[in-house]
Amino acid sequence: MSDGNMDVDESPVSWKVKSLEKLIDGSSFSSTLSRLSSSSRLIPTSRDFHFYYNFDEFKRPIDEITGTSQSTLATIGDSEQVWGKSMKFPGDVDDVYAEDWLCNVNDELIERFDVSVDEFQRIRKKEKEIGRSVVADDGDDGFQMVYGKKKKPVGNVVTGSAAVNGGGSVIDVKMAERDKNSSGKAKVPFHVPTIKKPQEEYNILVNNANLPFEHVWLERSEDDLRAMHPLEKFSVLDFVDKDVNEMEPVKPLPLEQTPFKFVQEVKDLKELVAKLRSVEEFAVDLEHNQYRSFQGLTCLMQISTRTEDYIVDTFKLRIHIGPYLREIFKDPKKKKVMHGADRDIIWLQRDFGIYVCNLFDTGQASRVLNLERNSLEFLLQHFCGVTANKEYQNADWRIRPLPEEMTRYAREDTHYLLYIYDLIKLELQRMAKDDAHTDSPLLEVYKRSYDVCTQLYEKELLTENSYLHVYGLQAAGFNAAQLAIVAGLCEWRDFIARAEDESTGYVLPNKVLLEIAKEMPDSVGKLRRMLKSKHPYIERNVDSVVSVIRQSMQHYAAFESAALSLKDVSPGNVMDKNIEPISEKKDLHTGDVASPSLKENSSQLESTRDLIMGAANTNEGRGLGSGLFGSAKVSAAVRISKKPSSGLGALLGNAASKKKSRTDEKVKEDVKLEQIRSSVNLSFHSFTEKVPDSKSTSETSPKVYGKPEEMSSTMPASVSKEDGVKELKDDSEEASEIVGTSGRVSESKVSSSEMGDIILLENGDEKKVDAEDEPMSLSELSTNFQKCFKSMNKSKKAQKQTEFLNIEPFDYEAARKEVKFGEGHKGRQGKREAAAGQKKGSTQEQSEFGQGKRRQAFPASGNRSMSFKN
Amino acid sequence: MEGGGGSSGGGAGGVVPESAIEAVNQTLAYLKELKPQLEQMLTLAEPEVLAAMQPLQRAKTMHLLAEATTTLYELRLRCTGVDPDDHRVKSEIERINVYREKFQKCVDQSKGPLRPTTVLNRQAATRFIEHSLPDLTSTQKQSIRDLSKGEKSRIRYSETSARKRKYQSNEKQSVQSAAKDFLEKAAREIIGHNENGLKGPLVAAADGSDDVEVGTA
Repeated sequence: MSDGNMDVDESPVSWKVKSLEKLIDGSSFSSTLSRLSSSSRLIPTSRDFHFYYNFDEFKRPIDEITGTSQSTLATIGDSEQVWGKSMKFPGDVDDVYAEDWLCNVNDELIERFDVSVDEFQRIRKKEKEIGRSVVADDGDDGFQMVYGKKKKPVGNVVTGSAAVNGGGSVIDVKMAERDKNSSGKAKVPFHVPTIKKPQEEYNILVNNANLPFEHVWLERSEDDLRAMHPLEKFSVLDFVDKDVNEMEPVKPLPLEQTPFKFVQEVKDLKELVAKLRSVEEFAVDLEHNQYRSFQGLTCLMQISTRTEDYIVDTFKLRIHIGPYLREIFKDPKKKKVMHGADRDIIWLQRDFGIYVCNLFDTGQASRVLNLERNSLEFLLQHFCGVTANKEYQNADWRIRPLPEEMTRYAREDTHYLLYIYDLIKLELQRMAKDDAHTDSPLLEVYKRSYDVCTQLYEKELLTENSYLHVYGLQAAGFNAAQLAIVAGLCEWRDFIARAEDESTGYVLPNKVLLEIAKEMPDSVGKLRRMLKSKHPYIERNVDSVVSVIRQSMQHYAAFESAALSLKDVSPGNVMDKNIEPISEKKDLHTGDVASPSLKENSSQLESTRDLIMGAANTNEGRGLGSGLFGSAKVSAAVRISKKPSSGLGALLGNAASKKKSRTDEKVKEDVKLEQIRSSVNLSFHSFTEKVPDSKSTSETSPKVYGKPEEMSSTMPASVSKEDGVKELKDDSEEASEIVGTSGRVSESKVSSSEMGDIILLENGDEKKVDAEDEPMSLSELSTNFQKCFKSMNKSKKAQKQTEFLNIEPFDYEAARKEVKFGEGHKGRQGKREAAAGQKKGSTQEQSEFGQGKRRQAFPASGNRSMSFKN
Repeated sequence: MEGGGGSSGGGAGGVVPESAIEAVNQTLAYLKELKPQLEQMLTLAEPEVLAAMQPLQRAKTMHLLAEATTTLYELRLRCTGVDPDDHRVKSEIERINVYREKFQKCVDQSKGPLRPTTVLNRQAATRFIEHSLPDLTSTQKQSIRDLSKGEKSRIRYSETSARKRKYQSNEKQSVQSAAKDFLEKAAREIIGHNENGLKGPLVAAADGSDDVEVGTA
């Protein structure tokens, strides 16, 4: 009977072997494959492909190839008898999972290839030693059994050492070698990329918004400023054990003999709750995954009583664990034993709203006892003689269903914990007796555990300085542009991580972040070339990443001081030194609040920069009154704060043109037209400046008074001042004869607003420079306006040319003024600029008031009397 | 109607180059030829069957499956317009090539002898025989020498011809592979040149769009 069965079984296998060998040895498969590979290289790609795809002649065969190759790949994936597990091909090759699939398939095949090659090498070596071929039958038998053993580890995601059971010595040796080899290779992976995200699988909703975590389950304090932990009602003394000596610790049953329940359903959870209500103490541990979740994800909860072990699937029962277990953990009469509970406490609060009372932390106890090491593994070895497998501590606990090895490890974490707790209590008591002078060690342990419990979870928040805490940034020695890229990419990856619920390290590791900032790739091709390992989110958002890099490189000026601080100052002082960039960024982040997207933020940055450039051009174009640098800056700053998105030149130009056409209508309107009014006043006021001598004289005098306040005067400066005064006299005399009437009319509309005065004076000065020898009229005034704005828009060189042409006789003095005052301006700070601006504003107001009075008092003969005074 | 259709068809034929259409059609034919063989291989590749095979045969099976999978994936990428050289699949292709070389080494090793064989030096043996037989006449001695020489010359002739054949066959293979490589390179250059030619205005357009964006900003 058995022989007959063996014959029947062997024949199809041998037939299949022969068929497969024919297929392999025959050159048709290999040659077809190589020809397919070579011909496919001739297919056009990228832009050519997309262009040709519009034509049916090209499109139909391509579609057919797509369908055929897709179905063939799916067939390869569906061949479970080959892989021994499910390797289904994902639908779209553009997906990252498809590439992972290809890598996994090739890994599988290459691993088996290596195994086969190793077997071949071994057989070859034996053949050389013996001098003849080994009998095929024996080899087949051995190989078959060995390969059967090999299959099992492949089927499991996590492998452990398997027991070796064999008949013959040769087979034993082979299998032993195989097992050693496989166990050596198959380490527990920290991250298994192919696991489906539990957030999607179990519909886990997380609030990753950039806002502080709200402890909704806690009572508020009387002033409603903070959350109160339930432990605040209790003292540490309430939890200290009593009558410790009376009890004798009982070692728990072996792991295999203890009842075990894997809790995955609500009714099982209810049974667990009922069980926990009936006991006074239980041990708890959590398994956590930080790498594939923004805030972290609790994957498993282990609970053990004196008699039973439980493992709760925190993915399936996530929304039920809080309601059912919250009261039990909060109950001060029930003792919870944990090891190294400082992070477990936080995870319970974050994921389930559970706040623990009456905790005994065996980790803290081991510190009080001054044990050799403080790890749970050491305690298990020291008190129970159990050797735990360390590899699983950092395993990827998102795996479902859990392998047997991981389940065993999880149970070991809590199974012996109550027994260890009993032994530790005895040791602490013994320690207290030996040293009666110190405080009670048991009380000390409970104090520490109390402190561990009362800490509250705080969500990680993104701030303007978050990029400064990137590990490795201090040593990188980055310049401002690179630092800007670091900040931009930190913000980008934080956004992606919160939206997709991934850790920032998974989206964009710090090492890669610093490498990108160092290389500064500004195109998709460059970025892809420098990224060597797989980063799925970067691949999907490569265009966004490149745009972030480009925008950061364009606006790196804000990071100059930060870069200097990083280079010169130690990390402790970086925060203090960066006060200025913080203040600058606050404005930008204010823009962020209004418009979260990066593009709008960058546009605001550009508009702000344009305004600053406009102000600088105005200063250079003026060429007079070096003291006005401060006032110009102040006016620019004021304008930026009011309307950051508007352009200076465009606004004034439009206002001027509108004023001419509709004077009466514009005057009637309210808020929006105030600036138009100020510009109207600007034009008239600048006109009146040139009419009387008294006005020009009074204008010059406040400047003279103001300058000593800012910096000491020197001989060349005073010489240039006198020359300026003389020149102004001549201009005003000519102008007064021509346009006396219009001057009077404009005088009546003078406005007293500070900003208007500032702008008026600046533009008036420009007109003097531009039109020294020409008669003035309203139409010509508007023309000069346009000229000024055009000159503002010109480049710096053009400005210099205009400057030289206008004030040619005084080149050297003007150059000296600019050089000195420019240096002084750089050294100043914002506050001084503001103060100077205010002073100048008040001075100008006084001067205008004086001008008005004098003019009214002496209309006709005033010219003579003014000249006499001068 | 027919005239209009004809003209549009002619236009389409002119737009898509002949080399591209030929490449696509050839690829489709090879793919149709490959698919049934691959499916048969997958059907036969059961754990029991693989375990019963010789290790070298099994290694070849694994390698061919990996190469087929990678080639099909690459082909699928090309049909979506993605250039595999710019894609991360390139590392997989390089890995397959490394293992192909490894497999070739194993095959060469398997064909080699277990140990070097012993070869008899006939002329030396003849000299030993001559000196050990003092009663031989000069005629007999010469005949023995001629016999040994004649046999050796025949052996030499056969060995020489065998070597020549091997050499020629190797040379032929190398010539074929060299020609194949040359043609592939030429084809790549031609296609690359076309791509460059077409990429030129497209790249310029992209630059133009960049300028437009800069202006907008």
